[in-house]
Amino acid sequence: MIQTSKSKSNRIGSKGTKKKIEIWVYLCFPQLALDALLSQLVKQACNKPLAVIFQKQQTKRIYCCSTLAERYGIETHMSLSTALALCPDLHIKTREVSKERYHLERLALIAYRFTSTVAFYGQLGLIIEISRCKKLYGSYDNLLQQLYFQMSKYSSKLINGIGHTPLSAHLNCQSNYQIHIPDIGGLTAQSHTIKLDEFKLSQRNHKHLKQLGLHTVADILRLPRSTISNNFDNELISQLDLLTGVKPDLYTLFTLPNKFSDYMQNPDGIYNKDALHVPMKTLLLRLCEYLKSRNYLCQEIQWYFFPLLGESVSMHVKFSKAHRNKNNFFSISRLQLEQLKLPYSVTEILLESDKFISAFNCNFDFFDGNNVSRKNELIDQLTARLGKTSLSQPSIQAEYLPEQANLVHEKQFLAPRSSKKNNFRPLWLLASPLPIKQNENKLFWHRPLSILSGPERLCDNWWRSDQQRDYYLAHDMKGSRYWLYRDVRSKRWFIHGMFA
Amino acid sequence: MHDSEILNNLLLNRSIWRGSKPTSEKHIPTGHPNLDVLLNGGWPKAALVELVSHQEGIGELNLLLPTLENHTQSDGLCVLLNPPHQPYAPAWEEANINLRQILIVRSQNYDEWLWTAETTIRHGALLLAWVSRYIPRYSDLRKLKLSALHNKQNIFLFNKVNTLSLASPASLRIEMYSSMLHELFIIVRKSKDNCNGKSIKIKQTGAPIQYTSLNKLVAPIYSAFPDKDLSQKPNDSVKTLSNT
Repeated sequence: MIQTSKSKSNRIGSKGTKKKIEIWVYLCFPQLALDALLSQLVKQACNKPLAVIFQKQQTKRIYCCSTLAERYGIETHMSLSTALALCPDLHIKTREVSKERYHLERLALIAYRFTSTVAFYGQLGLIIEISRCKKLYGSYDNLLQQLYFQMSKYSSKLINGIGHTPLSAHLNCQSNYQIHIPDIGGLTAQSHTIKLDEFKLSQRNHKHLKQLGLHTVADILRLPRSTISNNFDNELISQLDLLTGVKPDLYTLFTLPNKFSDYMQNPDGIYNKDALHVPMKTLLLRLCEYLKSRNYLCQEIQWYFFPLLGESVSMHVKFSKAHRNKNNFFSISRLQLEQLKLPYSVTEILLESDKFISAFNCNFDFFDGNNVSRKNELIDQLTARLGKTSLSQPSIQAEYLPEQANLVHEKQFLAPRSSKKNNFRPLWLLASPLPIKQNENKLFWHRPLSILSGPERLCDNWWRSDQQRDYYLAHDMKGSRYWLYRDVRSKRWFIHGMFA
Repeated sequence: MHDSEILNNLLLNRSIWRGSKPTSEKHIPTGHPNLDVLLNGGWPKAALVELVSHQEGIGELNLLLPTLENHTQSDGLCVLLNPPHQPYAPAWEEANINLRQILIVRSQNYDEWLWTAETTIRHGALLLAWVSRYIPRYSDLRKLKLSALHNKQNIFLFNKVNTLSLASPASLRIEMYSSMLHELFIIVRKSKDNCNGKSIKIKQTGAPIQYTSLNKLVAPIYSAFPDKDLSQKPNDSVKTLSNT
């Protein structure tokens, strides 16, 4: 989903005397490998046991598996042959690290809507800081509940850990999702109960800790710092400092990408346009979530439809006004899709956009906003179905010749020039002047014409052409009124307009 | 999404009174007092109005200019579907029509024509539709009529003369012809307001009549270029320059 991301290093958790109490939540996605593979698929094989495998020392092992597969007794790190023996119908997919990262970025995007302090933590998780969000959400419980609701759309399993530092949140990670956050005393006490086995230390250090009878963080914090430094190397002290917040943790903060790009695949191929609607809606939903996260509005989107073999087909959809309405995005895209010639089968759909405007800069009509949006929607729909060239709008140009003064251009909604004159002008102008017959002293256009008034001479600009025309108003026996002219040079008569 | 959206949803509640909205009326004034009297108040509101003209250029569109003026000046969008010619912008602006609210749409076939008409009405825009190569089916026109009623917007359909013998679901059907200059005769062919068969003559504004025969046309005094062959003139000037 995320192609370009500006990253910056920030200090997460810093030492200070008047530091605000920080609350860190570690979000862990144990099924990330599985979710990452399934989220990009149009058809999700949910009804069958599924497992993701990886290769370790020439042996294929289970990396993670679905709940249904777990019921057959399949566990992580189990060899593939054992797993297949337990469940012969097991669907197997190979782990793809790039897709996992891609999916984790999508989850980070959701977390970013709740707090701006989001960072990747390990291969399976995110770490977020929420102490500044309490007022907005009323309570931490409400925030964590809403976060769970949003995350569960993209993640089949979510567990978390809460702490006053990133490391304590990570080490406190439970096997379920917690929504209740204890007070600062409770958080500190919770971090003291962490077992030292959880620390990433060398075997020598672990052995030494056991020999001294030190099992929890509280046990080791009772010792003077000098004693710890004399008996253990810097590895343990560094981790303890990170845990207690004495030393700041260094991570790369997640920043939103400048371009949205997401795709969905169907290895079996999609053979009709109606079947494309579901993945298109999913991608548009993700786009809208991205736009919400950035508080942006979108004016243009680009679709790509990839066949299994051959060249892709693209579709550019432009909107008359920037917005982030999913239904509107879809209805216009669908109309345009109907006119598009697609390959026989489509295996991948890609949606991209980088034409955004900030929603802060947009003004909305307080009472008449609905009317304006309906107009824009109508223009978008007509353009999508009939094509850009089918829509036009009249406007006035500062020119002398009528066909140049009347500029019928593609729909732009420009402010017309105000050039009011009292001359009698026809409502219709012919696309090009048509020659009319002249028989002795009579003009004929279907019927004999009589000249009512004139002439009015209209000339083109002398540097462009030497056209000089004498315009007359004429009518026929049936009351139809016309706008005629006689070309001064050729002396020929033409009909140029009608007084409808 | 936005505050205005929330507000619009709130305003959909019928129990909320809006001071700016006029009370519902059954007719829209046509801008021609005599015609208003004939039609018992004006064009029927939220209806399909069929206009059948015997020939072009007799003032058939002129009849709708006041309606268009009111609609576009109050920022209402007006769609011209398949007009017979292109609107001449200076004349439309002279008639005080807001050109920013005029949209010309050209359809390629009957399906597109019908879809455009339906979509336009569904989005609350005023529709002026011309029937060119095809005759709309009764059932399709009925759909348009119901759509106009549902969306509270008018459709003005310019139909062909040969359709007068066919049944029409239009709420109002008028026939127009002219036998004298600047005079438009209107006959009501179908109406809900019991004015069927009634007719009226509307005087139209026009340029002052000053008949002139072709052989007595006034020769314009001003002429930007002499009657000589101008195509050689640039070459001559080039020669002069090179000689000097």
